[in-house]
Amino acid sequence: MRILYELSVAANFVALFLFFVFAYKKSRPVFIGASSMLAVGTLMLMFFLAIQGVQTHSQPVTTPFLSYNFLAMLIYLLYFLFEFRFKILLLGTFLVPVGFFFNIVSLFSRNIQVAQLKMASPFLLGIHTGFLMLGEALFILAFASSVMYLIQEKNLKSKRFNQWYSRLPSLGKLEEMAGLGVSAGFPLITTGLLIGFFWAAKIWGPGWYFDPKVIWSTAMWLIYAWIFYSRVSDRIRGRRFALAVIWCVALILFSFVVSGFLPSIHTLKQSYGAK
Amino acid sequence: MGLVLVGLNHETAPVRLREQVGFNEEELYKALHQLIREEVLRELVIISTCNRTELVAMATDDDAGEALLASFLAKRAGVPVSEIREHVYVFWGLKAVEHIFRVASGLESMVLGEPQITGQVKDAFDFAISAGTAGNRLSSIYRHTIQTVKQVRTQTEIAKNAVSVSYVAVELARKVFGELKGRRALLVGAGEMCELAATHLKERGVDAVDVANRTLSRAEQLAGRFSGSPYSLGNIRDALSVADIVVSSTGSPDPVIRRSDVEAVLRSRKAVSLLFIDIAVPRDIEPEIANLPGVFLFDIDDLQKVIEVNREKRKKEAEKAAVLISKRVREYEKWRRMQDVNPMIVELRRSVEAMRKEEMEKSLKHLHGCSDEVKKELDRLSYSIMNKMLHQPITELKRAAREENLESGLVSFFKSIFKLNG
Repeated sequence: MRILYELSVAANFVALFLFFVFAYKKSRPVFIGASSMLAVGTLMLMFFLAIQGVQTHSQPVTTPFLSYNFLAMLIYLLYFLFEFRFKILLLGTFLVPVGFFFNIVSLFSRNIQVAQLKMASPFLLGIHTGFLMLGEALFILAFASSVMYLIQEKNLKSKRFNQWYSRLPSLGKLEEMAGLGVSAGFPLITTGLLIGFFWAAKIWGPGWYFDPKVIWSTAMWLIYAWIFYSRVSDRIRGRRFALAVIWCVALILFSFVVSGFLPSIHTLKQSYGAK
Repeated sequence: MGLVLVGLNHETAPVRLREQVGFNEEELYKALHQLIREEVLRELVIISTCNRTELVAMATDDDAGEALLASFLAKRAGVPVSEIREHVYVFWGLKAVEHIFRVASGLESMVLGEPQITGQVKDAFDFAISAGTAGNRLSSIYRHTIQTVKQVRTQTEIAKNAVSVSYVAVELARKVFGELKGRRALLVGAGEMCELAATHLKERGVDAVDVANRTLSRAEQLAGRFSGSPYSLGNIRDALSVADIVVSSTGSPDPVIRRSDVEAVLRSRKAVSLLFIDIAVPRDIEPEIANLPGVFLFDIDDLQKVIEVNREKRKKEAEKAAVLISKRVREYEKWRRMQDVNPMIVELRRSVEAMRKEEMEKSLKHLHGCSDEVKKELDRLSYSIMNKMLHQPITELKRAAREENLESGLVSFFKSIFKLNG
């Protein structure tokens, strides 16, 4: 079982390396190699998560280790979906490193016993984290688009007609992709949080909202909401929108670290699933 | 019978010669019919554009064909044959095929990779086919030419990057906005350059092109052509407030669009990007507007810089295209040899089949009273043996034709043992 996971990480690492090679040496065979390797790595990751779920009778998002890998898998799948839709060959160079970051982070996450897992994997928990992960993956996609936007905008403003100018797509396309990530990501994150609140209120009773992790998540949600509102109301566009998305996703990444240290009733070793 | 190509172009002949040997449609028809009457020519196509005239023919004798075509060009140009020979190039056989592939792919054009030449080559072949002067051999070269051009266009980026000011303006607009559908352009000034840029922008999907000009009547005339609105230069802010792409080329000595104009307009635009392309000298747009957020400004020097970069890219792509074309010529050569060997294979099968039938008839005469089933089985057996016996020789014959040529020892051996004519 573990070998499948290790092979997946190895394949994704090779894909990451090839995407970097492709960024500096425009070569279609390298791009095809990178995408194929990522497809193999993602498939192995999917199998690993599925088998893990079957063996432990739980959803693949019930431990930090599985959740991070689930998020990485969603990022890789979004890469294929958006590359197919927008035909941006350089997308992998900007998106795959973030996915791989979560692959690596998962290796350092806490190991939780199977017995505890079974107890802590009610249906609502899977849905709650599943929605959140998909929403966050879409925000990460918007992040990758926004980084590309800033590079291309810099090229145009400073009149640098170099290789990156030629290979990066138009600002319009990059902004559309970032907008799509935010517009689709926010409703999913909101749904995930609402399900989480409902579930927490049900099993933890009054006072669930004083949990530091819940408070932190709500603060994060307000930032997502601001970006979503700015997007749909056209209040900020172009460079400012790209910067806002980058700051927002940087906060998401930071929150992953912070929430790991927050004392919380989320922590499985405490009274998870019990009033 | 061989392929011969005689031609001249912008690199080998001065314009005074090129304009003399060019053809209009009526002249082309006459020339094709005049030349095809000559004993030495079997098929003929004339490619005639502003930068080149090329005569492509299937001739029964290579040297005589070449001499005929060169003297025809000399006569048309009104110069002695010796003089025209200083300006023409001649290709025979596969070199001629390669040259046609290169011409149709834009590798021999003044603007490397320009796509119009493909249409011109197509028109020339279509014209000759409908005039009845292009037969099987030239039509097959035509088919291979079109396939080669498609491959060059899809597998290289030879025609991707713009190399003229008006196309670069469109390229920059597409780099900023992506799709131009739903965008509105504004021409400041109604000169030829602006008009050309407006035509390309409209072709690329821009909804409307407004025109701001010192003379309102000229603005009205031009704006009407591009479904836009006319403005006087005094109302430039109104025009800017609805525009996404501004192309400016007036003869004004002072800036026509100032930073204050753009600042005033940006406040009402909800940060939608605004692209300025200033092709006027002296410049029409104050360069300081480039510092405003969401504003992109390019002047004529920037456009020239893009053109230079794109030219270099096209040169690199042309190297890839040349390799691809060489490969396509080799494929054509193999295909051509297969076409030559096919009549031999047909003849071989026919003669062996005749032998089989003859022997079958003899045998059946000796087999009185045998049932139809037995006769059928004998027929099947002899047919099967014939096929199996011929399979390997035919495979080898095809291989020899593909990899060697019809004069190779193996092919000659086949011809002699089976008494074939091919």
